[in-house]
Amino acid sequence: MADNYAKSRNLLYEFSIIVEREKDLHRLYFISLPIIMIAFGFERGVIFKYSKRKRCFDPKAGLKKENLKELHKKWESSSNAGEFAEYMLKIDTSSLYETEFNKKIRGLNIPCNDTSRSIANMFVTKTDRHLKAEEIENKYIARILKDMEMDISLYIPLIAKSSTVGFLLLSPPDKKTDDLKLFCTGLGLAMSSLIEEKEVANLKHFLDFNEDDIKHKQRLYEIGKTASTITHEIKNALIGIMGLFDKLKKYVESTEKTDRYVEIIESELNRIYRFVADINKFSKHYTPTDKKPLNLKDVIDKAIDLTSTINNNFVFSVCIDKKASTVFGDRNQLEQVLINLFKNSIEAYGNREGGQIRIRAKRDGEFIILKIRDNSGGVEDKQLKEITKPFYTTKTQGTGLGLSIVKEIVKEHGGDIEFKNTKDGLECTIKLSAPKNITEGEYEQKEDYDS
Amino acid sequence: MSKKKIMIVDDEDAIRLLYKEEFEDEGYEVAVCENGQAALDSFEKEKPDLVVLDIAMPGMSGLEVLGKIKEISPSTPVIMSTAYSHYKEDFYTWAADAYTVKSPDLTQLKEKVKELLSR
Repeated sequence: MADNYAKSRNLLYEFSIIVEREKDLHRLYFISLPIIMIAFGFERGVIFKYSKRKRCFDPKAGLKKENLKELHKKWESSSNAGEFAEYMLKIDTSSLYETEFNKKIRGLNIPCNDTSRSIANMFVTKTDRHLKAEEIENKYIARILKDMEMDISLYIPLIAKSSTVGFLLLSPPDKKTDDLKLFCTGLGLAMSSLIEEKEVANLKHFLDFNEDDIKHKQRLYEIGKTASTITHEIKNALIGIMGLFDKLKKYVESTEKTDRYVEIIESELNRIYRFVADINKFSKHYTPTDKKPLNLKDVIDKAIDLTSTINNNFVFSVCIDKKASTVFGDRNQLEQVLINLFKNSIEAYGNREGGQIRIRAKRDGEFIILKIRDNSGGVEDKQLKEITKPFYTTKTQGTGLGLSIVKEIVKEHGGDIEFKNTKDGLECTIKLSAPKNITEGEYEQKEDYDS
Repeated sequence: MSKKKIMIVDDEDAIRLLYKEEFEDEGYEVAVCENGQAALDSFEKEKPDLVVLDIAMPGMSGLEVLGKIKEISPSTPVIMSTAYSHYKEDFYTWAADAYTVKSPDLTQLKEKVKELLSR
């Protein structure tokens, strides 16, 4: 017994080194899971990865004791942990995962919304916990527990530098976990660094190495970082000032003069507040987090609706080709694109009567081409290249961030944007992906799994 | 029935003053703390019924404090309150009971407090 204990600890030690050196994320899951199960005698195990971008937990691999029979035999016949570790490194562990369960969970994204609070709690307190299957409200995890025949399980958070990386689900839970937690700390760190590497590679691929795009993004990032530090301070101070000024007003004797002072102070405070809020909005990352097929007309109508609160004298005409009725993207962000463009036209047109915005959408192969055209008179040709740069503005009021945000969102959607002058105004052409072009596999699979 | 006690944790003097007065006007008892450590130190003594917690503070961040509070007293509701909405996307904040973006208008925050205390 004591020998077995030492052998298990040695195995963990051997693998904590291997884990640090592993360069392939999938291999890391595939090796870690059986090692943990064998060293601690778990009968069931599932490993989940957290995707920050999608805000999902993705199950990556699951094993039952039955799948480990061969490995167990080898473990028992190995005279020491080193011999077994060597064997593990030689074999192709992916064959362990050719089960129905692992096929089913492939590509499954489990949105971690409020339903998984017990899991979120585990991450803030950084402690593992025992949970009964019935305590898990998330239907996907509940389904996984059912498929894996797990009831009371041990949940271990995988955390690196205080950010969430994933978690492990193991049963039966009655094992000593101190060594396991140490091992998991190493596993979390290893996963995190591989995930980061992958993200950087994806980002480069996403931008297609277009130098202008990279420069735009870098500039946005730098400005965003500086801006958010400044605005955070200003906004915090303003909240105090505005809240307390509101209270102070009650003690001010109302005369023609004081009423006017109060009014000016209030409206100026509001102006700074809005300005700061705009910059604050800009400083966040516009990575589309909730991309799905959207009815383009709904998105346009909503944006028109929201814009009409600023100016309802503008006449909008919308014409959408049948083949262009659905677009793939993040609803809130695409609405923001249109609102910014509309606001821009309205502000450029000024208070005159007769402002018009025409929106046309058609399909071009894998893309939806959206043209938004106004009669604002356009801009000087040399300004066309400048207008999407941050803080560039031709107006007396405004942050000069509206169109910069538009460009950022469209680019983050993998699309393209272009401005040109027409005979009486500005025309913006946006190219976005049509849903057919996107692999919807993961969505379908998710629904399959649910049913 | 005794007054419900709210603990306000924020590093801005003006905001602490504003929140304290506004919540006292609403009929709550209010304890204020200027950083996370102070909040944790006085948590046992004050025994608040609810905590309003800033995120970006010098020293211990609000998210860290949230974890510690959830460890000491998992059932005490915590509202994260911050100048940014960025943190909302941080998975950690989902362990909090609510999330509000700071604003000079406290209506939303007051509603959240009321709702959580009536649970």
